Amino acid sequence: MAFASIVGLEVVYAVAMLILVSLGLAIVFGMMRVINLAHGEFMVMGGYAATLAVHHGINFWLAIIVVPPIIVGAIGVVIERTIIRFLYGRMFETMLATWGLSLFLVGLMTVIFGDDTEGVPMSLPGLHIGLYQESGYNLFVIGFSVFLVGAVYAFLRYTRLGLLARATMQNAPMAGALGTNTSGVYAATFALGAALAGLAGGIIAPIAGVVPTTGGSYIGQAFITVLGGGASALAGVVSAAILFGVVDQAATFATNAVFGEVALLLAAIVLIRLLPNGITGRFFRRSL
Amino acid sequence: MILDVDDLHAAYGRIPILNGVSFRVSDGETVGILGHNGMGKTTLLKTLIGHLSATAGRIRFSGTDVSRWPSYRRARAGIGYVPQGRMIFPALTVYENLRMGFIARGDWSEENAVNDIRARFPRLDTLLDRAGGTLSGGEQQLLALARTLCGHPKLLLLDEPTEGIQPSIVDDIIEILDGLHRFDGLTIIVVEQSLDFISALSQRVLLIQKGTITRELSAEQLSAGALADELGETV
Repeated sequence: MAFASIVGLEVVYAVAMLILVSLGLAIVFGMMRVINLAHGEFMVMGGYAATLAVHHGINFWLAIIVVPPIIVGAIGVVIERTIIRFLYGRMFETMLATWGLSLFLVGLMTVIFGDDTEGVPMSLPGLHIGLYQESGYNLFVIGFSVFLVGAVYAFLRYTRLGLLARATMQNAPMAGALGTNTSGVYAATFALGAALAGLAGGIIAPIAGVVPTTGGSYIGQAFITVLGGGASALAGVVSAAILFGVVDQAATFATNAVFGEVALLLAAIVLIRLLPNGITGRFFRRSL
Repeated sequence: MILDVDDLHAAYGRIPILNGVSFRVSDGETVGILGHNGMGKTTLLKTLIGHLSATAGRIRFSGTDVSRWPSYRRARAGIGYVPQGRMIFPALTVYENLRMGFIARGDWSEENAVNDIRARFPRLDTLLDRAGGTLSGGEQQLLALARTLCGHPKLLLLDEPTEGIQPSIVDDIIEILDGLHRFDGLTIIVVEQSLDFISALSQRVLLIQKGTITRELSAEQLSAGALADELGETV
């Protein structure tokens, strides 16, 4: 029973991590159709923001939850205004530009921080279940991911800016003719996606540490989850993360972590083959 | 004078569509624009709202030159636009579509503006939770009009509002627009193919050919039934 509980928590944790890693990309790619190949580097910048904040004596929770989204969101605004806004609707050019941006950011962070892994010290009591123990921080990640999905849903569904963002992404000229400054909405939406990526980086930093080149390991998972989820940004990410997280952890417990990753990729291939428009192309179509 | 269009030119790429359109519209007036397909009627409205940039000429709205303004500034200044094809936000509910039309102006809150419009459009009131994309063509046309009116425009640009719409909804639209014109003093420019519709609403009609205004019919001529004769000769 205790073992089953631990396995269950690990599966939920894997799902939560996939949601965390993918949520920013769900906004930027899922809603805005911008293929941001620098998404992983946005996460790494969030990790460094958290690391620097902790090293400068800022409270741990503020450092991982508040500082990274502010810093990376602001950087996102600058990147949107200087690069991305000229490329809307031009998929190939966007890929090239964000790939170049990704390389630039890796180089820049290496110059500034070096290529040693930076850590964020944290101590949370674990949860004892029988003979087993679940990391307290893992439980925090699970709870925070649930909160984050709820917060993003509430923002998009119930706020004026969320409404403007959804309408602008559906038909920007019409939104403009109704008085919406669509250029500003695009910038704000991109900043939200960047901020969510930075937040994910800040949350993950205490677990994985931060090194300039780790962005590449996140971007694959994020794109697979967002593509597997389909058109509805939020429902898509949650449903795909549940599917892939369960497959990944089931295979990991049955064999090892490497086969878990392989099983996740195979599940993604099968899913895209069966549902080319992703899960929300068939189910939950009217969801956010 | 709410609108003064002077020697307006516009083009799609290198293809000129408007070749020097000039006309004026007074406050509270309803003006119809008639012409064959491809003569520049829709392009004229798109240029007035700012979806298409003018290549030359000037648009003055309430005395201000808005020729270089983006469309959102023109909308905030008081130009409302109901496009051909409606352009409903398909994944938003009817209520959310209406909220999208709200423009903060004076003491009106978003809730007050939407409730006012719901009272004017009882057909929409039962559809508030439906996704815009699931409505019939007629319901979408009502929604497009209602959505724009939520912003309390001073000038309403209507592009072919009766296209593909059932007669009962056309009657509803005429009644609503007539009320807005008579009691609220709304200025309306309507592009239409339906002579009945344009006769019912317009005080004068501008005929457009090859991107220029070629003739104007007064209210007297319209009421005398001369519109059909005039159109027979020129359009």
